[in-house]
Amino acid sequence: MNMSRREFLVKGAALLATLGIGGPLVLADKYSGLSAQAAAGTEGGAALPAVDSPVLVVVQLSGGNDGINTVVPYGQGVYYDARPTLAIKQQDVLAINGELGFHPSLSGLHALYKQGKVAVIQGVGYPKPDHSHFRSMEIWQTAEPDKISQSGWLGRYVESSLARETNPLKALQIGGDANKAFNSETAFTPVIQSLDTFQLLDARIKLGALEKNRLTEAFLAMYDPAKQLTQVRVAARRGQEAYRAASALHKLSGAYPGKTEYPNTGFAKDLQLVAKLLSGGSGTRVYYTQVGGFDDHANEKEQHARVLKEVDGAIAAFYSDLASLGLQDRVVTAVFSEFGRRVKENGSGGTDHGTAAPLLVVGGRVQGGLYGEYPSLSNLDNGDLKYNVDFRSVYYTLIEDWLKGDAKSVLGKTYEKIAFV
Amino acid sequence: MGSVWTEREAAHLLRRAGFAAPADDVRASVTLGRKETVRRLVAGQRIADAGAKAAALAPLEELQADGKPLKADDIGDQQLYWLYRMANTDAPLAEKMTLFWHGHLTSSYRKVKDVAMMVKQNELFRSHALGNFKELMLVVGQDPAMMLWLDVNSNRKGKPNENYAREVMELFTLGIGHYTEQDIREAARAFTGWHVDRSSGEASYQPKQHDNGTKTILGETGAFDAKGVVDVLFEQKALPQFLARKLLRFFATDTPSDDWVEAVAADVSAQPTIGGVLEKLFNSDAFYDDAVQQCLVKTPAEYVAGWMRSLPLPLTRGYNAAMRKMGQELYMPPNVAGWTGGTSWLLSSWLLARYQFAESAAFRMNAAALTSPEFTPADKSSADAWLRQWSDRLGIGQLGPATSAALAAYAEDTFLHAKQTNTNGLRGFLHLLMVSPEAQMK
Repeated sequence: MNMSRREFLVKGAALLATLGIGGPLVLADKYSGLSAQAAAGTEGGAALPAVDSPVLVVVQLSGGNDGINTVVPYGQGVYYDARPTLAIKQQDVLAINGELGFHPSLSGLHALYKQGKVAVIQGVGYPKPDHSHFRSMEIWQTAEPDKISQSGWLGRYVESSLARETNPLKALQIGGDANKAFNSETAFTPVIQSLDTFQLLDARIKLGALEKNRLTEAFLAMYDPAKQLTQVRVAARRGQEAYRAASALHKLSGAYPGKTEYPNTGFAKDLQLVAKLLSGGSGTRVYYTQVGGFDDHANEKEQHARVLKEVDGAIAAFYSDLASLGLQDRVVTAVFSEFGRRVKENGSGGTDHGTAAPLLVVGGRVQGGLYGEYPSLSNLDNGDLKYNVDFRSVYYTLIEDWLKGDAKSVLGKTYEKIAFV
Repeated sequence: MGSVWTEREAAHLLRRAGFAAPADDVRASVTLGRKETVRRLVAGQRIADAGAKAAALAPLEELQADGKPLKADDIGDQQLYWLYRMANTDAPLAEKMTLFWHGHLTSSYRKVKDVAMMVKQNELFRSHALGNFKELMLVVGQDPAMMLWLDVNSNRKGKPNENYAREVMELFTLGIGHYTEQDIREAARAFTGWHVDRSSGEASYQPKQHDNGTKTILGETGAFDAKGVVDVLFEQKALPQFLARKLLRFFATDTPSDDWVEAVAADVSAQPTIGGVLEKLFNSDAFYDDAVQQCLVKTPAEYVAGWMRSLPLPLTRGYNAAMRKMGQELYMPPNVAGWTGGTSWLLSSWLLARYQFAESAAFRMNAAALTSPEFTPADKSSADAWLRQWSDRLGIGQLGPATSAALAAYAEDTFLHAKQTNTNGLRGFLHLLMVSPEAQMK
């Protein structure tokens, strides 16, 4: 059958209308109406990964989380000497053992810790630590402390270990700002803020199916990087990729039976979106989320308690949601910050930029407990903690033992693994 | 000098130095020549209709959006008012540099939580926009919003807080690698003594809180105070290079060559004002190189203010929400380093937000304006004529063949052969032009 383009636009729209599909996928489906039907019938069946596909959720605490007041060394007098106004009282600490305990805001993580679902890796850092937020964050995101790198550690993971995956949703950043972790010359990672706005056309403006079809077709013709001028190719490529991700996303079944109540915070919504995508069978292997507000140069006491509570409430709800969906064993959540803070508090009820800090890993399959050693509070490097565990050991373990990926090609060499998964 | 100066170069300059390249300004620039056009941009003088009296900006209180007057104590309305200024000013370069300083010497309402202070800082940047950088660095340390943003109140004799000292070196003047942790600790001591009163919003110097001991900063030793630190910073070779690179990345290209950075750094050192530096940059042939034209991604502010300038769109608070979804909230940079910029503006969710903004702007466009002679080509049956008329009118740069073909096909399908005026088709045409990859770039 040789329809004219105009005929196609009209008939195509009518066909799609009967299938009840609208929005940006109309065009993507125009040559494959059957596969769309099949997919709808099996709730995105083709895109469903094998049940054992492990998933990593990275949580970035931006601003430099005070690790000492997160996992509190309440058994040491030197802690109370260094922090006359900021120290957490012994009776308020949520004890891990006789020496260490969680900040009182972390009741959810404490409960999960007691169930053996939280690994606390102590004293994580890297040699010659940098005190700049931006350089240190870049070091964590690129896993390259010694040079400026253009590629991110997760970008390299996607390149080396998910190369054969054609799913445009194989790695996703949820919310947040530009992030170097997914930087890659060849692999593209979409960034999603919310499901309902992640599409080409504004859902609030009512257009007929024919007009949507026309606009979408014109968009795809303009956003063909191979046919665009050199200068604008980057925009064409990113727009095309955003469109593909949006189409894939809106093809998901949308079945999310989750009943767990999440706190009313942006970060909790981000994690809930992760749960929705997981339960919708997006096939995503790595999610990246960010939460800010940790740069406590002044008035740390209230602020830190508040942001830790936000993190704790969201992660606890997320875990319980995953458990109710039967997904808790497929997901590992790793929580890091670009640096910890100085041992001694400053004169403003705050702490200045520091170095090593604990990194938390949460999940049904995680071997809970303490790993590494708590850095000495008295044997310091210019007022700062000395690290015990290189953060690349954590990355290496996550990629090789959890994601079953090619850790060596991501990190350039082998690192000692830690037995938390 | 055989420098090429056609509508293409003029439009490029206007998009980079301002927020839009409307057809009348482009034509006037070609007549005026490059040098005079640049001179007017730096001086803040009109390009087209120079004889006409400059259209004064309406004060905030006289403006309405969505049927309600703007309120000066509402941060959202102040965001909208700044967008209005960008779109309507006769001095777009000064406004552009105000935005540059806001992204460079950041402060955020999220921490400062005082609308008047944020607006006061904005006025400070506007008054120093094209002035002397050192003078700006001296006064910004006593700007109340900056002081609250970087904890200057907590920086007292015997109890230094390093926040301001660190960012002054790392982000405002020298860049990483050109100072040590010890320099920061010493500079923090030198900056002590300044205090801002939250209720009055005034900054004052309190000699008792100042540490007047000896400090060693970047190899120089003395009983430095705030001015003393700035003096030492402005003797560093890294400073002009740091600012030159940032200016080039803002105005010219994400990847300036080291030679170009050196050349502009020499101007930063030699020229008494930033206006002088930019005048040389905009008069250099390198700025008009083919590889430089259309190579930068528009910031959301440029994207929105640009359409506000070139289209008769009603003012709406919806612009604030749209800007947020595109990744840029005025008065609320994401962190102390400001917006990442460059191709990060093309994050998928931010890009989709631009497309949806374009759709709603085209949808809201007044039907009478859409069918007015300004938007109607002489040859109404030629898709090419429509395309040229509209892309000139909107000041979009060169359209590639893929975009032209897609738009022509759309016009064919909708309004080109319609017996009656097809406003919906015209809206779709406008929507697609605004969505085109070319329109994301400047």
